[in-house]
Amino acid sequence: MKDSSDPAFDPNTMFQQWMRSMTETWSGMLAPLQPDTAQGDEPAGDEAASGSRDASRDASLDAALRFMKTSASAFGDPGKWNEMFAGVNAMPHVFMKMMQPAIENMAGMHGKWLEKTGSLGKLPDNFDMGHLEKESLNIFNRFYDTEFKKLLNIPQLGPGREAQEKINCYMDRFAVLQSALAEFLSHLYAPLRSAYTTFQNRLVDLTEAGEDLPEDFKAYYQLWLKTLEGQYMTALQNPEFLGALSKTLAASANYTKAKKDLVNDLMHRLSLPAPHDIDALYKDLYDVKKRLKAIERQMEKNSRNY
Amino acid sequence: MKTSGKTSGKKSAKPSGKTPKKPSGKKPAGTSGKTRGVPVDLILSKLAEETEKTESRAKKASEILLSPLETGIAQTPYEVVHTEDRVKLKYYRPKKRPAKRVKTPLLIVYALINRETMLDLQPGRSVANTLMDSGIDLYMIDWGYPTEKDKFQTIDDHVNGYVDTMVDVIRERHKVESIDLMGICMGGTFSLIYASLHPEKVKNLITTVTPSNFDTDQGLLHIWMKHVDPALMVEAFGNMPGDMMNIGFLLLNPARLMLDKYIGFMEHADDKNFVENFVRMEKWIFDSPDVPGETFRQFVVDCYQKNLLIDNRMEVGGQRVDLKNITMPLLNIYGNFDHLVPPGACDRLTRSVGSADTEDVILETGHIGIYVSSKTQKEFVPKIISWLKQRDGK
Repeated sequence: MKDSSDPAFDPNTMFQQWMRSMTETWSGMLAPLQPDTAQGDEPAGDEAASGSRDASRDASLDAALRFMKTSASAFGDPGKWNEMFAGVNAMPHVFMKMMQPAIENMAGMHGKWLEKTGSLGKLPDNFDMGHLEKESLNIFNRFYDTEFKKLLNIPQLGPGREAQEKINCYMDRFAVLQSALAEFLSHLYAPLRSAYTTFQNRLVDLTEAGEDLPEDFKAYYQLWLKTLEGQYMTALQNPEFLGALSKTLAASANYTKAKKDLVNDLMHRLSLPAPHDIDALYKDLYDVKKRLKAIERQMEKNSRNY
Repeated sequence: MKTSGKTSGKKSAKPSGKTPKKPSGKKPAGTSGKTRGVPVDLILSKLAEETEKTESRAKKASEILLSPLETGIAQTPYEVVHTEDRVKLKYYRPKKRPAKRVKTPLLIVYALINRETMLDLQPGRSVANTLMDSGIDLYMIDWGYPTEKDKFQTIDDHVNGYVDTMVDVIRERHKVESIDLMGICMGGTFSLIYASLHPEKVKNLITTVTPSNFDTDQGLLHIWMKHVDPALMVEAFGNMPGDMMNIGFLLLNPARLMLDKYIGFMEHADDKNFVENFVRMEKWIFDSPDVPGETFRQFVVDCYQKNLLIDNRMEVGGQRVDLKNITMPLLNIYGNFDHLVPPGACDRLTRSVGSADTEDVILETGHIGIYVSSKTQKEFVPKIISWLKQRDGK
């Protein structure tokens, strides 16, 4: 192995030699492929077509060969070599300039997102641990409304805009329905929990009052059932439940409407009659039947009078 | 229209009937003085006794459930004498005519919620059968199962359309000017509207568990209905789904209707008769046609939310419904423990009509109990028959 400090060892010279030998090798290898225009022994017949194909192929090969030769000879010239790669040193700097703001923006967005999702875990000042399900739902709803819903409302562009908007609407309404259902179910569960506590307190009260407690477990079941019934009767008419009921029914209706919109769209794209087309037909049928019945009644009345 | 009904485990829902016994025999260790806690020892010994009984009951119950059961409903024979769209007119021909029979035919208008089969639920407790046996020519409207194409149908289509057509068919068949009309629940409200708009065609009017005053907070349904947006629901669902309404009715009393009722069934599953009747009731309860959307919307808005009917401000088919036009005899029957149509929804009617011959009958039962409980079977149908007979010749 030669030492690079050896004056006899010049990397440029060595590279030039290597490039020259490579050029000669390639030229030698490609030489047989060069068309020999001097030879005219091809048969006539398909000559014209085959000649045209050959000419096209030869032109491509010729161009490729010339490009390779030029490149090889350019690489073989140290001056050109240095000239060509003079700007390479500047590239990392340019790339960095391009990438830095992009990365900073992404990091910023990621940070914001983390901050927002992190807010899910933060308890507000007025958080009521006694109503954990309700408070958790409130936090989720607030987070969904203020942060996530915005993503589904980003304006859509291009030919797929309408379809994408319908898909986003469907996703939004699905999420709203799930949230409303969870709230509704939490209202239905609450009396079960409170009935159990009330039932226990009642037993304690009876004991403390010195009353005999029933020895039949069915009597305890009846006591619990009556308590539960009472709890439900109160819970099912309080304003919070009524609000949840109203919200759930509206969410369910809105979700169904969004789903139907999607189906209508899909059916139209498939050139099939969509539900709202059939609705229009039903309405026409209803109107026609109603008019027909009115005419029939009028005719019957007239014939009776006549 | 649901209630715990006969098969809802009421038997089990009642306390055992005994006053809580004092712990008998020697006091368990650790108890002293007058006050003692839950007698866990006695409860456990009772539970052990019950285990044996439960085992034998489960064995018998499995034999019953695996054996053929007679659970058919609406078994009384009838003929369909007229059909219009999905709506049928059923005629129950009396088997034999008693000497003092009712000459005027009776048409029963059932609600659009659930089915008229409730009047013929089980042998021995069939309102239809009892009315037939009394010699009444009984007709019933079967509303059928509305489909998407029916969602535009309004109250006008039902009252001035189907009911009026059926009344005309009966008048024609019996060659009479007017007939007796009996409405049930929402069908009663339809009957009131019909009698107000066509008083000349109604000889006697009977309303049973019929809401006419909707501005009451006695029943949860009346409270809930003020908080729904029927227009939005109809826009989304077309017709109001029967299953969705069923869930709503169950939620009116979840403790009894979703829990205790089935515990009651388990406790009586070794009684074949009980099981058969329970299954019949279940079949009826969950046979819930959808309600035509536009009718549902109008009923909720005009009745539940605006209470227009009792104030004579409701409009049907472009005509104002004036209850003062109801000048024929009116019998108004309702249940004192009805959680769907509470007494407050029924008790203003007789004061609001134009008739001088009115009567309120309040039965100590619930919404469905009026028609199916053995106790009210002895009061309800005989009362209707005697009331109609008294006014038949007039």
